[in-house]
Amino acid sequence: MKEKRELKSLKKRLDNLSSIIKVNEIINSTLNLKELLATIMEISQEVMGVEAASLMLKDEKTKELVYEVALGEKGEAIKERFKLKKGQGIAGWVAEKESPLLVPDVREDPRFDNRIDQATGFKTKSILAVPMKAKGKLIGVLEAINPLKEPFGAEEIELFTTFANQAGIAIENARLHQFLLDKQRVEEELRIARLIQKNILPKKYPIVEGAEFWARNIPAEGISGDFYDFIELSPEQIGIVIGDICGKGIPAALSMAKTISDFRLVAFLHNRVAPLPKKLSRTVTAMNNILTEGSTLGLFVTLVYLLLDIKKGTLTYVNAGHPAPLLRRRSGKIELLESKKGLPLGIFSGFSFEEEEIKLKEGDLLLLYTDGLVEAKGKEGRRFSTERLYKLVKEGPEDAAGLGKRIAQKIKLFSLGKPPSDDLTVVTIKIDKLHPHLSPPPSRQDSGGQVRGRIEEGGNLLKFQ
Amino acid sequence: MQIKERSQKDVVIVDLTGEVDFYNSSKVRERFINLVKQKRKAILINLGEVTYIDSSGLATLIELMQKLNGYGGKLKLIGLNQSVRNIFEVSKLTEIFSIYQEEQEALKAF
Repeated sequence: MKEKRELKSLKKRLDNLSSIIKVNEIINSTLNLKELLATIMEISQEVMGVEAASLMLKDEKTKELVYEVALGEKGEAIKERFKLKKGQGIAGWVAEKESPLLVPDVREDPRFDNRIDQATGFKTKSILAVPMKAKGKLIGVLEAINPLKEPFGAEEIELFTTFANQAGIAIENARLHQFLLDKQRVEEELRIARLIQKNILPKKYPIVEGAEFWARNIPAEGISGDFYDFIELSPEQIGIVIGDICGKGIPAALSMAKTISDFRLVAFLHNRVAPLPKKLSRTVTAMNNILTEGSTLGLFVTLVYLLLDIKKGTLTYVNAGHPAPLLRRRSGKIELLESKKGLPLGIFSGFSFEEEEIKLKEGDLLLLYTDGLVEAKGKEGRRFSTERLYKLVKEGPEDAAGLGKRIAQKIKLFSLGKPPSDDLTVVTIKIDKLHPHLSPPPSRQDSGGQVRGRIEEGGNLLKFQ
Repeated sequence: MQIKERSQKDVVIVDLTGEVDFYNSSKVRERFINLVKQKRKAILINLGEVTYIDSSGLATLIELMQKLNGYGGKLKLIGLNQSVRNIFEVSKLTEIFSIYQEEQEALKAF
């Protein structure tokens, strides 16, 4: 008699073991989280021989248990309405103690919460609830409800616990898979955004007799809030703008796209209607009003707008809260292009900007940059700093491309090859000859042959990754 | 980065500590938005222990100021160390914020 009972028990254990192996194969056959959760429920029901099963996952933020797969047609309503706090209900108790709980008769257990029965019309009699863990951490609770044949016993607790652990690992794998898929998708979107951005920035250097241009933009996070543009206002007048949308990532990049296109339009409009010396200040004042009107999250823009008049030999500029461009005279002396009253754009509307004018000399070299350059981090968190930049400009090569490339190399060395933590832009302009004899402007169609060169992609020299 | 809040009569004083940058400025913003929801009229931000603030951090302060202006509230800043002051100066933000050295002095000015 005793032997028969032992044999029966052994056979049951063997059955249970083979179910677990089978179950393991099934739940590891999908990485789709939704499918997986449904499968776990179905198998729970089948293996445990119960009327119903439920699965709750722990919400890492609120620490509540949330019904992920709920019963029958009222399932969705249950998901929304029933969230269990730690310690609340039978599942809440299991989550808190991280140990299984067998309730043979729910009517006799004060922990039982009958709200779901009331909402669904289902009649819960007996529950076996077990914790689901992954990597030693509780991720949820599984419940087997109302055994169809014999009441639950010690073997069922063991079986369900083993099953819940398998399920926990499978859920964790599926989540990881989902995370990687999401990451891949975001990376792909960033790559496309970066391409779009690259197309917004100028692709060619302007053609101005007597002047040489060089520019480079390196985004921090794939996409950039920095921008620059060359605006050809006439054969002898070229507008140059460099700016920085505060912030990083997608918000800054979207804002950059709008700012650069608005700026181009506003600059052209004012070129038609406003005479020098009001062309620049009016453009920047109008831009400020546009940006302030559409301002969200306190996003603001610092920029410098300069007008190089190669015939008159002047440089007019407005600085709106941007790091002052450096003008290196042939003697090596450095002048800073600051404005006394230039606020960043997008903070207050109605503010009037004023422009400054300086006389240029042949051999002058101009450096425009964004703060990502001087704030680049090096050893022990030290920053590149304006002092280092001034020294570099003082010593550096005397042509635009030479100086630009040297700065790029120095920054790469300084930041130990790591990608920059902020967007970084450098524009250099060399004045070779003033008051040149101007030939008629080349028509747009055949300008290709006269371009000094295409702007190199995001940095052959500054390639960080 | 740490944010702490205390009160001095009707003035809310927010003590910020550490580096305020792109990665944590949203936490600062959350706190600020909370104060704005309560329609707090006098807010003093203590930057005394702030070692670095980037443009995202500045944007958060600007947004707070714009929101306060919207309902007649006032914002003052104290305790900018030299490197933080430089960041404000470069972008000419010293012109638009009311900046004080000492807490008492700023409190009196509300």
